[in-house]
Amino acid sequence: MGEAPFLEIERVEVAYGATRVLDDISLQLAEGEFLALLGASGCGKTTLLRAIAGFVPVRRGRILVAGRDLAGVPPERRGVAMVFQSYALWPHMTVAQNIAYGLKLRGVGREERRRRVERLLAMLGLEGLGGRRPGELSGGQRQRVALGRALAVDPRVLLLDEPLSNLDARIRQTVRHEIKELQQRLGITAVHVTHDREEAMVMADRIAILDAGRIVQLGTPREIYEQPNSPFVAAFMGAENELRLRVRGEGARLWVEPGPSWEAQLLPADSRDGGVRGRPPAVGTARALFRSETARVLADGEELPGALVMRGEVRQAAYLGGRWRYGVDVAGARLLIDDPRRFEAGDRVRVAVPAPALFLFAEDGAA
Amino acid sequence: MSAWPAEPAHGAARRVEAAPGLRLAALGERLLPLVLVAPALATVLLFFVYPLSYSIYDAVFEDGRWTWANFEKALALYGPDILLTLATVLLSLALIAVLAVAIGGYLTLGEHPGAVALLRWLYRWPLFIPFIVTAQMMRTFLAKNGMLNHALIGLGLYTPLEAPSLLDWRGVVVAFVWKQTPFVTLLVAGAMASLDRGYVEAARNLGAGRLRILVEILVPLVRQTLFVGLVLSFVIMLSVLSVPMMIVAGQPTLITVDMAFRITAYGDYGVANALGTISYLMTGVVAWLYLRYAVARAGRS
Repeated sequence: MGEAPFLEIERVEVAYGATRVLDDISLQLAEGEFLALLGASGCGKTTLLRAIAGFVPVRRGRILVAGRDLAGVPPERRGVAMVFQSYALWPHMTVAQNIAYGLKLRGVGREERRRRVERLLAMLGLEGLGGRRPGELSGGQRQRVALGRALAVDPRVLLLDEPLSNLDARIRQTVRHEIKELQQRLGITAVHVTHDREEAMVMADRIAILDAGRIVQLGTPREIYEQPNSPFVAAFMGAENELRLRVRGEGARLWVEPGPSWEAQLLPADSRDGGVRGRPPAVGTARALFRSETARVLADGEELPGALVMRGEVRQAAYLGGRWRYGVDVAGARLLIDDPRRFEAGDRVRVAVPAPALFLFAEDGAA
Repeated sequence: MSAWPAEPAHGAARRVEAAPGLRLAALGERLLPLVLVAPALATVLLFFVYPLSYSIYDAVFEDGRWTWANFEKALALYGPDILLTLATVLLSLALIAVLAVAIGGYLTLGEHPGAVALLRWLYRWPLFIPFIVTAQMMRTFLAKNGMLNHALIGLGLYTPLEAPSLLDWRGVVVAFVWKQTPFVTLLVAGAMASLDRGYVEAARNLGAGRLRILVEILVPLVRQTLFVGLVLSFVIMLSVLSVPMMIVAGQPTLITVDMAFRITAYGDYGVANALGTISYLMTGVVAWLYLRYAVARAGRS
């Protein structure tokens, strides 16, 4: 990170009664950095956001903004602004009143409030909508009003709790770029909660993957995508096809023992030199994961050196636009494989996964 | 073109053929809702519309002639009581509104779970106590030698000779507020609890304190429920006889007592009905205000 941390989370633990929701969470964000908290429902990502906002008491650990410990500081005095999943726009106020509310609380005069609201409305593409009530706006407009309300108070930290989850897919694509651009322009430190992998990758400088209340990996989107450190992260980042392989390391190569649907084969083991990724065991059973789009069906007689090749039978086919996605049964597992060519259910095919697309982890978790 | 004139005739013939059966079925379909609603309608007509119409008729007709005499007499004898009734009920309503919002607000925004649970358990008790028992309790509590004065004298705030009796309109206000606050609070607290928690958190997040959230966020969002609770309480308080009868000693008193007195002492149904009509008018104005508000809201949404 290089710079002094602006938002620091030190060994934070949060519990609801006897249930520990966050366990030993530590994070550091530089000023102006955009961090995405990514994880499945119930992993604790929203709880972490709410702990930063002050809505959830922290049982252990510290949260600091610009070196100031927020322990005991009520939500209204933390200087962090939150955009809620439901937007939580007050329906009895107009758009302008919603946006100006934080300014009013800070004693900003009526004329200055009006000026700043106008500027925000223009920045968010909401000109002329200041007099409307939230119920008269579209989902995308409401989302922008919620963002405007949070930005109006010039927060030191912006917290975004799945702000795009209520938008339809087409609008979401646009808005995620708009938010990122705005955050960069204003230089605000932002923490964004999402369960959408692509959204996290598009918007964040770094991603923290959470599982069962712990951060299981923290890194840039590329690091997380290309070098997942566990089967969970690999699967969460799209490598959802999984097989068990018996492997044995032999220097820079990895020997794959014959299985029910594949022959014995040799794969390059050095990930920096086109080899398999992950943490394969020296000897033993490995969990092998790969993404549908990185595998393909081999033509008759075609060979692909340095790839894991398996035999399987096509069971399902779905057209994704430009390519097909096949459900292929391999050794009792249903793998999803993409290929531009057309195959029919019942076709016997050979599936190849290039070594760099294969994430291998020791089954028992040991390296 | 030649086929066109024949069509209506053919259709008409078919309609005539099917008519008796269809007509019977249609009649049955039309009558069924009336049959179903008849018991309820009869109850309303017999026990509400008829007595109401009769009492208004009795107030304005005497010996078969239209007259304002009963109203003139009612206003001459009980004008101050009518004003006192209105003032007592309106003051009670204002206090009920403040207390219901305060209790509902604490139940929604309170941060001490123990205190919130205790308040939630306590505030509903008066709901289950009848007005007459409330009135009896208030007599014991508010009389010159009642529990309140004992406590205040014990605290040294005044001597026994200085102790005032609150058994007048002030006692009625206390009784009404004590009895009706839980009812309005129940509605208001329920409405507050059903709001998106995000409304409160968003305000806190931007820097609003709890009092400000209550006044600027919660109350505007539940104002319709609060208004309904107050309208219902207004009607209830206006019709309560036992509280003013047991608490207020002598004059001035509330018009329910005057109505009872006209009937029991003089058998004077004309003036009693005129007083009744005046109380209908008061509730009618409130109902009109409520409807106007509800229609305006429906128009906005």
